Amino acid sequence: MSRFLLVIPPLAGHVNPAAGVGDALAGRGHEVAWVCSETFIRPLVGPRATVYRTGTRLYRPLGDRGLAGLKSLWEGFIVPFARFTLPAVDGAIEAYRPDVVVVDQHALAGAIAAQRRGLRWASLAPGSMELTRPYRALPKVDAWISGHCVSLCAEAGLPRDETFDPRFSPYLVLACTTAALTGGAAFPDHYALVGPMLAGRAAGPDFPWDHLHPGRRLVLVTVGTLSAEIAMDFCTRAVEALQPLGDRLQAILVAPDGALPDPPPHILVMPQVPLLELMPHLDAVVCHGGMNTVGEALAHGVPLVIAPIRHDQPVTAAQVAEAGAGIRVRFARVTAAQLRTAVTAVLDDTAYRSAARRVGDSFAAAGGAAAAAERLEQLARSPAGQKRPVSSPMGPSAR
Amino acid sequence: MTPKPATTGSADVRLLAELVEMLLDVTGEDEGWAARITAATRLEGDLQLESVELVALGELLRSRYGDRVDLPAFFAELDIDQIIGLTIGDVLAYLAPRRQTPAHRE
Repeated sequence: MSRFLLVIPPLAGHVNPAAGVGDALAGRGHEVAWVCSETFIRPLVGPRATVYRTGTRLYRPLGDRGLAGLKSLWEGFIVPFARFTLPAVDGAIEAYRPDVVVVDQHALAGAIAAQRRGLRWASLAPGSMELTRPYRALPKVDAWISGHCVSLCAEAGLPRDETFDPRFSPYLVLACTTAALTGGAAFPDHYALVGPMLAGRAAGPDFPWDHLHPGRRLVLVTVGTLSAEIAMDFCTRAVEALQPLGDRLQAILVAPDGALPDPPPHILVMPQVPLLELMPHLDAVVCHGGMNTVGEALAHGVPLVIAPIRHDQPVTAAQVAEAGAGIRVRFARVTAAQLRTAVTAVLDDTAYRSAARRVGDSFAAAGGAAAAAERLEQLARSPAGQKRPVSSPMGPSAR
Repeated sequence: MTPKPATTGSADVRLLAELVEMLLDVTGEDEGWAARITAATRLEGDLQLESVELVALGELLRSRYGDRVDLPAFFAELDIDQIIGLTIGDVLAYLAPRRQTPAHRE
């Protein structure tokens, strides 16, 4: 039996896979505690779980796109979040005495605190971005990100160490993807591509199941938790795209109540849906390329139309398109007609569904949360202080 | 279609018009959108160019103006604030001395 401390940022796409790992660890008889915003993690882990609160502070809304989005992600969230939570992580380690600290790639305080105490720690990479280094074509941008990491470590009093990067554990990096998506990128041995971690999700909201017509195809449109106005613009185009297809499909569109007045009868607009429960019924998903939704859709063999907005979403969209499991469209500019063509294509051309099933099979083979728990267990059991060789200070040199 | 540029020289006007034409190609936008493009227009903040569109633009520029015009190499030299603030004027300033086959000679 080992003790694991999971350090997770208050972001939906990050808490869900972490809860999956936590569940799997607990299921194997280990002890698990959390450093996270209690509001985010408590509904997923239940009333008895040990949660060390980070407290909450207001972070700037992450509404920007492109590199402005990357800048606000780092300067508005990752860096201040690391500074703000470091004392809480230190306190949690002191109180809980974990064998291994599991650190989300956006919760850098976990890595810094573990390193400072010589504890073994693992990185949890819920998205595709940090894995394949999409900014290697922009070396100054890449260096700017590393610079933030170096400053945080220096502020925390860590001795300068070129091989230490709080985004990439030298012991174990758990990634919620597989080679079916990352393609030819080569990863060091201590990278475990375990696929999405779907366990641990709290029961979803109610859904009017009797509204679904068994004879018609079912399409889900969801662009996640981003700022309302850019989402609305896209959803309006989505409604227009699906409007003439009422004889052959039904759609569920995730949007706030009243945001899309008078949708046609075959389009159900709901503020929240039980995504995991819906997945087995879906024939296609239209989304912005968040790793949770993409992972869940592909795990169920559901092809995608992805309109990526920012961060790792363009990377994910490109990977899905490359795998043949979906079509990438442009978020800002895709017209209703283009969107209709894309949705019709993934519904009609069985090659998309076959490719989605292939990726889903690779996820199942990779083992998900159970495989992640097994790797963490091995790390906890390995002799203390044993580091795996690190090929490069900045993570893998993906092709 | 002749967009109103913020620059003055006729060569600049022509180059801007050519660049706008290529932007229309890669974005599929309409001429109303193109008419608002000036030297001060930002590629990311104003035009919301996506990475796939930038790649396509880079290919168009290279095939039109020759191998000395290398948009990915140009971007590789920029830091994050320069990319965020990059304007059409900056791209024109990069293109002007490097292009090898000006359209008026075609």
